[in-house]
Order: sequence, then structure tokens, then C-alpha cells
Amino acid sequence: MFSGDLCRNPKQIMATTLGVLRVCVKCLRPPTKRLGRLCVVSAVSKQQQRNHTIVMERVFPLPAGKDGGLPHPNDVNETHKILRHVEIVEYPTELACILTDYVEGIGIRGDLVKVKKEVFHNDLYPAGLAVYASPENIDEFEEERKAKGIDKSEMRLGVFARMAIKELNHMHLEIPMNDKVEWTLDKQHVQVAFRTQGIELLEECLVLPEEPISTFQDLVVKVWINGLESVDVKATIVPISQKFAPAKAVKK
Amino acid sequence: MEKVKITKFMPTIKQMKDMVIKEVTYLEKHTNSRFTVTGRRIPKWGTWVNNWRSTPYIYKWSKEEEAILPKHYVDRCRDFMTRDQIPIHWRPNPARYRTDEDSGERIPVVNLPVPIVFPKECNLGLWGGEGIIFGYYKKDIPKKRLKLGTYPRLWRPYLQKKVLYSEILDRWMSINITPRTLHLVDESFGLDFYILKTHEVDLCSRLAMTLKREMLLALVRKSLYPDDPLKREKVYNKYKSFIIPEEEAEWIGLSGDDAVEKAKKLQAEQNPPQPLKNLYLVELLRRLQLDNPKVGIVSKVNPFKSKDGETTSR
Repeated sequence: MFSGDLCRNPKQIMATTLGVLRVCVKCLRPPTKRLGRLCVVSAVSKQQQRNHTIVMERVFPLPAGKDGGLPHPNDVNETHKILRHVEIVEYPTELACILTDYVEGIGIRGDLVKVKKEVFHNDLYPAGLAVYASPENIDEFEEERKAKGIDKSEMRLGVFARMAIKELNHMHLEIPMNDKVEWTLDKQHVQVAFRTQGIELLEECLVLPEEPISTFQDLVVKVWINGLESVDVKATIVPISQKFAPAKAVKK
Repeated sequence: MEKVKITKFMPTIKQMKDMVIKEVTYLEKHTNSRFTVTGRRIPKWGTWVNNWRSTPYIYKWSKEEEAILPKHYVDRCRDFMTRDQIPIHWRPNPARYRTDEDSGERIPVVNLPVPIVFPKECNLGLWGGEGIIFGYYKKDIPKKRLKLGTYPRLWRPYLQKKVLYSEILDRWMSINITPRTLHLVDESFGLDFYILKTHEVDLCSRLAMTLKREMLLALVRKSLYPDDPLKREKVYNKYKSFIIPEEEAEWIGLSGDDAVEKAKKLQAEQNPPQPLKNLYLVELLRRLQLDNPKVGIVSKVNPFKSKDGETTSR
């Protein structure tokens, strides 16, 4: 209702503005009807986004009627319409919901998580990935969890485990080794190499190829996550002088 | 103080204070305000009118038409017109009395809503009871307090177009809603629960009432999910508690004109027009019987029996 049909047709806007100008030039009298139209055109500016309802209060309170009842309509004056703001209470921006499928970065099936309202209403709910966290739905998903026999939530692959898998898949590992001394590749070497890339893991979850390695070459390292799933990480063994060159060499 | 003639329409804030405290009348000629506090007024018919509450639509009809309408429909309309809304744009004061700052007098508190107007567009969306507030406003800047005047202003609701899903109708709808409606829908776990739970006064739109009627009819007739019997029973058990008889569900949310039309149509169906031929025949038979009830009709009409019949009877 506030932005009329005029806003959509640029030709009509031009016509109205020209019409207003012509009126102004011909007779030096302020136009009455057409100015109202112009106001509609100029009032296209966006409304301020807000997440609350406006609450107002009368500056001058209403007078009481007979026996402290409602006032007669004639007693009510223009002054009783002067208003001022009361404190604003915003509606919550987050919402609890139950996921029906794995969603990246949020959770897995059956998880009760808190997400932003926009995410829930624009993405998750229309796609069927989440439902409201009503007491009926919570009971339903708990029964399903018990029927499957998954009691401990720690044993399953959570959100962060899946994110780690995705990161490891895209990774290329460089294992620095000394080129002046003879060596055979150990689990500790690989662990240190992972640490330099920003990933910390235990020795137990690493699996090296069966043949002993003592030369610079490409290889594949297997990593077990939570003892449930394995990832193959591509790696190369690099001489340490190449990777961590001395400071003097760089200056030259 | 003496009476002052004012050329401007709006008095200053100082004059307004005088009007209230010292009982001076500045606005003698301007008794009519630009917009009245009372939202609507029905002078003709309808004894149940709450003048302090404005509504998006009105139920009204003549005295003869009310006799035709079913009782449950009229009761629902009366409930809608007289009932008070949940306060949205104002906060009621729980205390019974307030003390005046100047005189220290105890004055009873009057809790009434601020002036609100519901435009036509309110009936096409779900505004959750919000409306446009009309009033005067003065900016609260301490340095400019004396210079600034009070100006008329309107506060309008923040509307968004959002897509909502109703489980019973199995339909996605793009509706204009306010943040309040979205909050209420999330609190009651879905659009269906929100519309079925809340009263007509708080829904405050025609669209919501049409949706309510469709949902209730679908539940009673069990016409939801025609291809999927498993899902139908699941949804039916979920919303079982809201079911009302079909005769009442058909009337919910109808406007006054539509309801009167429907009632007239029903009345015409129940007593169809009888052919005059039948009526005249019955009347003729009755009149013939009244003349001489002892003698049968056949004996009277039959010309051959007339003489013999008289002799035998005497």
C-alpha cells in the first residue's frame, strides 16, 4: 500500500514528474493533487529492518469515567494521542530444531541443535532437512535411536569428524627428512609432519605402507578417525634442506 | 487564564499542559480530531459493540436476517466483536490507582489501547494482530526541547514476504507476515497449530479464517493426503483435538453477506415451492366434506343415484 503501482513503471514516473513541473512553470501556485503522487514515488526507500513490535504509551494518561470506569468519548482529547516509546523487547533470533539428515557444519540425523531463524526458514525446513523441536518429534527420534541400538553419541561420527575427513581429503602432506644421514620412515616422523601442517593426531591412528621406506618418494598414509572410518592422505618425502632452507641462503 | 484564539491547528506542548492541568480550553473550535480514537461506530444495528477497539472487519446484518442464521455462527460473531485483544502495541498497568505528581491525588487507572487502524491489506496477510499506530510525537532531545513541536506521525508494521507450509492442506504459501507472526508460528510448532489454536480476535485477518475453515473441513471429511493413507492417519491423529462437527465448520470465517446468502439458499432448499394444483385439490376436498359430512363424496357427485338414494334414506 505504501509503494504504489507507479514505482514499477519508469515511464509513468517521468510523466508525473514532467506534469508537476509543467504545472509549476505555468502558474506559480503549489500543485495540490500531483504532489501527493510524487510523494508516493519518492517514498520507495527501504523500511528499517526490525525484529520487534513497536510498543507505545500515552504521555498524558486518560481520565477516569464514572466510578473509575471507562471515560466518555467526549472527554477524550487531542492530547491523549501524544505518544512515546516504551522499552523494546526483541524476539529471539535463534531456534531449536531436530535434523532429519546430515547437514554440513551443523549436525547429523537426530541431533537437537540451535540454528538461526533465517537458516531454518529459508534452507533447512523447505528442503526437509529439519523439523520443529516439538515434544512429539523429540519422542519420535529418541525411539528411533533406541531401536537402532545407538546409545553412546560419542561413538558415532559427529560433525567435526566429518569436517576433518573433508579437510584431509584435500590435503597434500610434505614429510621433511635429512638427506645426509640414513633413515627409515617412522610413525613419529609422520606425526611431526602433520603437526607442521596444523593437525595434531595420535600415533595409533596412523597406518604406514608395509614395505620399509628409506628414500625420497611419494606414498599414501592411512588415517583412522574414531576407529570407524579411514582416509587416504597423499604424501611426499622432501629433503629438509629444501623445505627449511637456512636463513643465510635466503638473504643471498 | 483567558481564552486564546489559535490560528494553527496544533497547539504547542505548553498549551497542552495547561489544558490538562489548569483546565483551559484552547481547542474550542477544533473539537473534531483528524482521526478519532474510536475505531468504528455502528449506529443502526448490533447492540454488542466495543467502541474502544478497532477491527479489520465487521459483522453486521438486519434484524430479519439474524433470525435465519444458525445460532453457533451468531455466537461466534458476537464473541469476536465483544472480546478484548491480547495487548500488542501497549502495556496494561497492573496497579489500580496512580498518584498525580503535582497535587498528590489518587486517581483510578484506565487501561485502554492506543489508537490503531487496520487497513485493507491486513486481511490479505498474517499480521498477527499488528496494525498502524496513529498519534503525535515529540523528539526527546534535551537541548532542543523548547524549540521542537509535536507532529502527527504514524508507525507502520515491518512486513516481509515469506513462504509458509501447512501440513493439513499440503500446500506452500507466500504470505506477507510480520516478525511477531513468525515468532508465534515457531512457538506453536507450525502454521497449522498457530491458526487452529488462536482465537479469531488475535488472528485479525480474513485470510487466516479462510485457512481455518479449509483445515477444519479437511479434518472432518478426512480428505487430506488422498494418495497416502499412512501419512493421512499420522496427521489426523496429530490434529485430532481441534475437530468440530461439519455443520459448524462450514460456517467459520464467512463474512456477513456470504453467511446471509448461504442461509437463504439453505432455507430455500429445505422448504421447496409446492405446486398450486395440489393445494387447490386439498381445499376442494375439504370444502365438499364440510357441506354434508355424513354423505360420501361419490354419492353426492353421482347423478344416477340421486332419486333412489333419497327414497331409501327416508
